[in-house]
Amino acid sequence: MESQVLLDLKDVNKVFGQNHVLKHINLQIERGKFITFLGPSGCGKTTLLRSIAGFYTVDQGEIWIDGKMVNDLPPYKRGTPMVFQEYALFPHMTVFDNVAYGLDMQKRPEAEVQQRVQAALAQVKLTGLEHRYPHEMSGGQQQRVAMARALVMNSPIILLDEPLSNLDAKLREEVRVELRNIQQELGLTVIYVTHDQLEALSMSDYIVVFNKGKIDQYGTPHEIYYKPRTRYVADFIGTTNFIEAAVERQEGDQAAVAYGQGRRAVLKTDESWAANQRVILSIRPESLRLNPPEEYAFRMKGKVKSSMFLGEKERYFILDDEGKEWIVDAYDVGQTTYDGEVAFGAAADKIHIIPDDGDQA
Amino acid sequence: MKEKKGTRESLSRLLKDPSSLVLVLTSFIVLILFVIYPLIVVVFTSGFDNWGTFFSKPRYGRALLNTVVSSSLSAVTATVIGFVYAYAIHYSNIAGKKFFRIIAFIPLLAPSVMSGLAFLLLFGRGGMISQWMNSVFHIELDLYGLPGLWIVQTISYFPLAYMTITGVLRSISPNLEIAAQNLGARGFRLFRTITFKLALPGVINAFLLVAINCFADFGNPKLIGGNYSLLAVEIYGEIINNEPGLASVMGIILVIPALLVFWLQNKVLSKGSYSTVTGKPVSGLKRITTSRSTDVLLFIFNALISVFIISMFAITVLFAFTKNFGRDNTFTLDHLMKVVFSSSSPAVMNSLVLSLVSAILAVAFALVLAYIVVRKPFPGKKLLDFSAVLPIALPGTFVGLALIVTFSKGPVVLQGSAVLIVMAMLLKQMPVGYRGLTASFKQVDKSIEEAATNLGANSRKTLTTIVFPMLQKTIVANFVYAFMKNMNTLSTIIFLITPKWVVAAVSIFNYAETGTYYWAAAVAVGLMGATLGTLGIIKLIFRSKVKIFDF
Repeated sequence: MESQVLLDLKDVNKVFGQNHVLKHINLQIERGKFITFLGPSGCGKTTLLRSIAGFYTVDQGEIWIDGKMVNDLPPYKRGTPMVFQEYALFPHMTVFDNVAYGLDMQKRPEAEVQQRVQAALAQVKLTGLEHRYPHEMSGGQQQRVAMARALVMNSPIILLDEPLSNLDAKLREEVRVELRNIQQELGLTVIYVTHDQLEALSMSDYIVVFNKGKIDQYGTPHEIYYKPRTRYVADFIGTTNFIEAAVERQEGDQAAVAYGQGRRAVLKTDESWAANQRVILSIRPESLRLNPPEEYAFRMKGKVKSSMFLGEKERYFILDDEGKEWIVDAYDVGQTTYDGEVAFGAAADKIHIIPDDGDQA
Repeated sequence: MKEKKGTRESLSRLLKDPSSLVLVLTSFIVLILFVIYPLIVVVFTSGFDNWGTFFSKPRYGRALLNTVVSSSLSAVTATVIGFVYAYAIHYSNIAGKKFFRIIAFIPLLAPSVMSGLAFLLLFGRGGMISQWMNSVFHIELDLYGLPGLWIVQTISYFPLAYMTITGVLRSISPNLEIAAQNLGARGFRLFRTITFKLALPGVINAFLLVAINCFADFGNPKLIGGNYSLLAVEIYGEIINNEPGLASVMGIILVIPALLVFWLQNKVLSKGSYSTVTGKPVSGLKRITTSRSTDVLLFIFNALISVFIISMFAITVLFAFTKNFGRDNTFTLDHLMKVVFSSSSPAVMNSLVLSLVSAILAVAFALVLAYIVVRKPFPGKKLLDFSAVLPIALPGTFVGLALIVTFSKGPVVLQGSAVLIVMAMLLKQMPVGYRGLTASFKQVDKSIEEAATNLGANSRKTLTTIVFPMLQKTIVANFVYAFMKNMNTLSTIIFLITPKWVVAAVSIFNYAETGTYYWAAAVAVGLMGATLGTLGIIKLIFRSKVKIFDF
């Protein structure tokens, strides 16, 4: 039986001069999944993608694709078609010739090339534009040609290097949906590099969050968003409130924590904590409620500093009694806006406990 | 409210702005007098009879054929060599890339006729290599005529091809080659399907540039061609014979291909080249380079070309500093003292003075033209722009011919003064500066100037504190370029020199033709010294702000 693991990275390291860009990367990627490498620029995500494609040779570790160790294979033998950020379409070739290029390199018979190119163009909805040149197309169309050029290779894996960053916001959203549809229809394994957390959350089966050359967290979008493993991940994904705390004791999935000046709460947790361990509580603005019900474990008091109307929600900036600023989102508020002294809080299961490693995004 | 446009509106605005009016009028007068009027005179001077004579005498037909054949051959070889040389520098891992870049730059420091001189010193009758071949292999080397001319023009113009092709190779985004590799391409297939195809427009451009340059070149054909006569040489003969009509006919024939190429380039340029859609290179990914065995071949190729160029310069230097190289190898400064540092031989000094004056005027005029064309409204702007750019398409031989035919008689007579020499150089170089400065002026965003005005600067202050400093690089670069070209031009000024105003390039040519090689070599060394010295001074003044030796 075919192994479920398509891409296996074993202790991959890459050094550029003094710069250790990839630090002990271990990762297994399953067939047919949409994986996103997420992180700010310089975090190593692009370096890893290029190492998989063979543009860089890794200094240590092994890269396995489909059960084969590919460390020593040159890029033209790896079978890892890539969609480049700037598309890198061949300007002197028509759309057809661009898409056919990889097949021509494999010296495929004419009829097969014809049929496969047409199929790939149909997948990206470019049928009929075969004879155009790249400069005669819009940015969105060029992006599709780049996609078709990779799809046509029928490779088990496709690499995408920030392919949407040159499109405008509206088009980006459209292409996002299409890309995900194509991936699911064809059962492709896609590795997608981006620094856009929204892109990552909306498209991926799994997200790999990179932090200075190492993987901070590997998980589903929900896990990454609601259960960030590190402060860095919590900070990088979405907006969140942090408050330092200490675990006093733990019983099963209940942890008693002390936070602020003498405040205490019993929170739900999946992990086990040592007594007196320094932790950070991460609370999303949408998990906080103004005038919280009695049963909410976590409670604070403060003064509204300012507020901002964002359409579906009102965002409040609140200064608590201890001088710390909080962001609280209120949904479906109609015309009411709060002012002056307010109480706010969150339910026990909406607060996420993170070890305090001092690392911030 | 819509901004008012139209001739009357722009005219009335111009009349209210006297300083601009003066600039516009002066520009029109200069360009009409020195560009449009001479063109008309040449066309009228040519006359029907002369066209008849030209087409009936086989001698002229043969010269035309010779010109076409020799310039095409030279253009092919110069382009091939230029391409391989540039490819080696940009796509291989060979050592000594910087050295090879400098070597390709060196021929630009000397007039192309110096290559002809060096060729004679090496391969001419009594040349170093000819004699050696004779004594060792008993082979009588006779390269005068087409073979010699072909070799010399190839070497003289290969730097032009090299630089043109380098520009294109540099603009090819490594992304594309990397993408091709990602799709399974490599080695020669990658080169053939991607790199070469993308470089092709530049290769064609290089070929055309070299071809039209060879087509109208005068010095080397006269020096080495022997009985193999070319059009430019025939023109020279007709001017000496006082047959301006026939000379004009041939001048017009020289211009036609040049204008065609000029038109073609503009057409292609306006359509936009490939490189504009390929985007900027991905950071961190380097260009894919050639294999080790290819590297070895490329290195040998570039080394051979370099040895050839170095030996040409070395033999010239040896002749300049010895009594009579090959026969009496005693070191001497006599030749230099006699033909460079003596008041009776002012050729190098003349070159320096005329080139500097003309280069300064050319850049100043280009600046004025670019300023009024980009920033001021006035009627007839298209005509002014056209006549400012036109000379770029005219071969130097033709510019010189047109000026001498026009100003040796008629209402304005300037023959015999240095004015025509300065003007001829200016006309050849000003369009380059004009184009560059127009582009720079357009790049200085109007909003930057508006910001200065908004902060209280008047229009003169804006110009001196904002615009000119931003243009400084372009101005100096164009001045340097014009100066170097002026120092080395022969074709442009050959008809215009007077006994008092002989310039170095002509002097080299004359001494070489009469066989006094050590004097020709001494003038060549003096000329290169003067060029390098001046560039050094400019470099000292502007330091890192200006890149003169951009390798």
